Amino acid sequence: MKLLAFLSLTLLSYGILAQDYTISGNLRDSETGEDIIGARILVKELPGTGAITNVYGFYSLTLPKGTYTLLYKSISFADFEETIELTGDITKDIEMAPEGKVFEKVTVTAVKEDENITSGEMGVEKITMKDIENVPVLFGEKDVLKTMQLLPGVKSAGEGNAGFFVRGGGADQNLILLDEAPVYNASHLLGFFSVFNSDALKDVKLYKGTPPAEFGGRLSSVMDIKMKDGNSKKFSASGGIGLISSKLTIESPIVKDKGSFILSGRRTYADLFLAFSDNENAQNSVLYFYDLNAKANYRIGKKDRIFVSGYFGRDKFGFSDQFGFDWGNATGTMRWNHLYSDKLFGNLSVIFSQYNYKIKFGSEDQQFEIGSEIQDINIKKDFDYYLNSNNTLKFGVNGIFHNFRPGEIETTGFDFQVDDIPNRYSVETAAYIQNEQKVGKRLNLIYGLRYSSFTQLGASDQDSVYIFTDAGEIENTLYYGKWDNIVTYHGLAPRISMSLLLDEQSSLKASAGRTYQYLHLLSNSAASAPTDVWMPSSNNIRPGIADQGSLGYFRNFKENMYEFSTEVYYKHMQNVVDYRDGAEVNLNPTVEGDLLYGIGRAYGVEFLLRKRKGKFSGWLSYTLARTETQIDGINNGEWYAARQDRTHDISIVGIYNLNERLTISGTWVYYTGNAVTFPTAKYEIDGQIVNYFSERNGYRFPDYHRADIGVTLYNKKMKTIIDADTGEEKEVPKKFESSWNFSVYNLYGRENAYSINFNTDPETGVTTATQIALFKFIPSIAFNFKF
Amino acid sequence: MKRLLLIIAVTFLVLPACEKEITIDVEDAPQQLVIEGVLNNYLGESYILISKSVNLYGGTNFEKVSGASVSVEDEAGIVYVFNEESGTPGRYVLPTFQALPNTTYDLMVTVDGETITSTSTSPSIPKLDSLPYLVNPPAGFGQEDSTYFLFYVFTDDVTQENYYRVRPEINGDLDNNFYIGNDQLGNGEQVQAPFFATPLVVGDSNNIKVTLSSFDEANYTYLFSWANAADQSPFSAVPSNPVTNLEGSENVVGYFGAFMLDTMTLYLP
Repeated sequence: MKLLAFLSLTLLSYGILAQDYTISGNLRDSETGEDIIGARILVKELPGTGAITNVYGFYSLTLPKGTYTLLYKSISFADFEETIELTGDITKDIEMAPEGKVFEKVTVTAVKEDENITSGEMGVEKITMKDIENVPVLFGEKDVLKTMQLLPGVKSAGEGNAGFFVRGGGADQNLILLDEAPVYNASHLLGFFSVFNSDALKDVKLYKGTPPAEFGGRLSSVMDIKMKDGNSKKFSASGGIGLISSKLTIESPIVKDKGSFILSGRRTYADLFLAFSDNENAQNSVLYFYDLNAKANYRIGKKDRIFVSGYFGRDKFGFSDQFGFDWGNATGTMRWNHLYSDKLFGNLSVIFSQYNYKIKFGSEDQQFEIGSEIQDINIKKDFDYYLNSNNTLKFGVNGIFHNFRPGEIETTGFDFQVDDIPNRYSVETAAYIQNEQKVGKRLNLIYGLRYSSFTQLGASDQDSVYIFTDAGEIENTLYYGKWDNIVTYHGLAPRISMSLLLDEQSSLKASAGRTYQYLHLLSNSAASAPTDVWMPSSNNIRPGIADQGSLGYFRNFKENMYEFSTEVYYKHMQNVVDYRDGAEVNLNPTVEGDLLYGIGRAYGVEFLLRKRKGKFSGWLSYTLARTETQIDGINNGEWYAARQDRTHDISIVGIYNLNERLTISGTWVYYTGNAVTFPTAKYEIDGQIVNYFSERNGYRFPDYHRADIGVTLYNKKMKTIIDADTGEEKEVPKKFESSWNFSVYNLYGRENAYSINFNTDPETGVTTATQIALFKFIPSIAFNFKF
Repeated sequence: MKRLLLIIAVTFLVLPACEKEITIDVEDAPQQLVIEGVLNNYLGESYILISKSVNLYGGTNFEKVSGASVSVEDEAGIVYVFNEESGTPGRYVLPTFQALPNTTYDLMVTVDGETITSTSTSPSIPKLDSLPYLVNPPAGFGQEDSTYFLFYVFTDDVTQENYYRVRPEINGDLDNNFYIGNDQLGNGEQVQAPFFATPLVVGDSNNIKVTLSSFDEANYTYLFSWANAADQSPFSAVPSNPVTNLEGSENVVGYFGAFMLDTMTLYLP
């Protein structure tokens, strides 16, 4: 008995001696009050121990009682150091000053900027808004998606195109999230511009390898884009006037330091010139796109915060009164952050997402209209649990209801009946758990499991479901009632990634994981078209599955001045969808019969050398890759190069800050031409000359290369005033900042093939290959301001 | 539709796309035997054309194949021998032949020691109901006349699976757009659809003749795959060869079909 009492006393005292306390809080920008995402909190006394802020700027760190020096670090912010005495749980909200805005002397840091080496994540690309601001692009229209294409493993979908391919995956295999809401068609104007107005964005992260377990639903990548929260300190505005568009963003506190909002808009105005036409119909024609971003957030007490954000964007094309074509996305996200304890952070999101297009023929009295739409309602609950300084758990659940309307046809003033393509309902659910664990001082592990399921439901009282023969003909039709379960797919997706520090400057990383994709983009063309159709998995279309493994070596040089990394990857894909020769995608109720399924493989090696600091910054990236597909019924069932297969892909980006007022930037890209099918012979039938093809994707477009250059001239940032007290002259920052941006796209006028057509002159019988090139030496100018 | 997307792209950007001829070397493909076998319900208008392909850059003097043995056999076992028409080498005809509805025909072509066969079953004879149209005011951009937006209406035969092509002929010029369809989802229903891609300008006095053609599945597949491969714009599908129903050689392209036709004419002042 005595022994027991002694034991319990010892245990108790041991418990008291080893008492752990938690320091938690939020990190914010001292200028704007924006949350700082992904900032690191390091403990000087315990090397290798630390925390990272989540997407809402929250951190939590549990340490034994003691006195510590905490170092808060984030890209483009000055380091912040603070000594704390941890004798109880502490809440510590920190405001960090943006780089260059700090006038006090900052302690020289003992800890290096080596996140790329130490982080357990691999295959992740981050781009700062600063990079986007400086990299020259087509028409001077800053674009996060286009800048991302300059990184290894990410390939442009084509000339001036915002679409992209990640590690051999198709354009539909990228999950593009704007404040957690999926954006189904991320481009304007047939792909030439992305829907993301960079003025409204805060943070962009691309997972091209194995994504964290919280993400799912696409095979190849996750692009996680966060909108700004809005300045919670003071009213501010920024904007720009460019060659093809203008934009304006306003931000303001609702209640200072408690809540804020941001409102951002952009519109192109190529059509304004039409108003000067003396043709009445030209005056009545429209061609433009616009974007609106809005977001508000409010803190309720210390533990709760609410966010409401939305995006609305549309392309409009109208030809007199007779033809109209418009398309666009709408998303809405409502979020509620709640701090359950200083270790458990929770968020509930309700997300709405929509994409649709409408094509209209005829005048107002007599009209024929075709429309298509996809609509999602998504509910998500996520938790971050900061167990201790070595383990951070994330877990959550998610349910999405998808409503697809592939084709709605309406006529007015005209006696004419056409059947709609039937709607489809489906439900996608998922649950995940993941732990990020530090093992010793050298090993970082992130491992998790995601379970997802997908159910196709009856969408009408008599929903017809077709069973197809191998040849793609309807063999049988089954009927289901509304909400009947037609088919369910489900699967487990394990994910693991790790980094092993070799020494202070280098690490080895490895990752492996599986992803599922239940939605498929039916696009039978090379370019992205607004009429591409999203189709859910069904009794006929099985979900896509991808397994990817990768290995990487990361090394920094010269005090982290230079970052070098290389990754090799291999990806195996199942249920890759392609079409029977000559399938029709639009307005085809039996399109599933035209689909063929096969397997795909993608492998390659990526190199990145980057200089982050100093007057001259930039990067050099190179990818050597192969992407192939094998489908019964295409190319005699043999492996063939996928359209996005590109052997070599090189990007060079240089940004040179000449002085405070002048920044010069340049890029050069080179890649192997896309795989393409060219004719090899011709014959005559039905009075027409027809080309004969020997092999699918057996030829290549000519190699692509291009250089762009940009110059940004900042108007004076400081002004001289006379100090009222001392009478001395001194320099203070101007309230109104502005800059001019000049850029040239395709500087040396390379004519890169956008398409190549083979045509035979019926008179002479001569066949010629005609190449269409789109953009050659396009200069642009823009004026940007901020106050 | 696909060409339209490109037009939008270019107009939006107010930029001329630069076009130039380039040299692209391709490997020669094995020479293809080309057979166009058309049987129809109009007396003496059936024909079989035989020719050969040329290399991509080999001009358009397509070699006509003379001296072939061409015959068609119906399901009753009656053999119709088609003879080469004098003055038009490679064209084989039989003036007394008229294809009947709901009948299976076998084709046999022997040329250069190779025998090519195929089979096709005719459906019932279709019937066009009407050709309604909309009048659009002038479009602008240099087009000062009104345009017609033409529709076709016919009723499907409920007793069988049907595949159709509707083809307008405007002032004697055949429209090469593909208006094709099947009755998989609307068996026995009336079909109404517009000629999307065929603008008709008022003031040019249009004599319009519309032919409705009904045929079997294999010919539908052929046309369908041809339609999609024909367009070469950046928005079109991956090009491929139309799916043939001819058998007997790896290097034969073309089709054989028993087509049931109905025509209707319309005059737009």
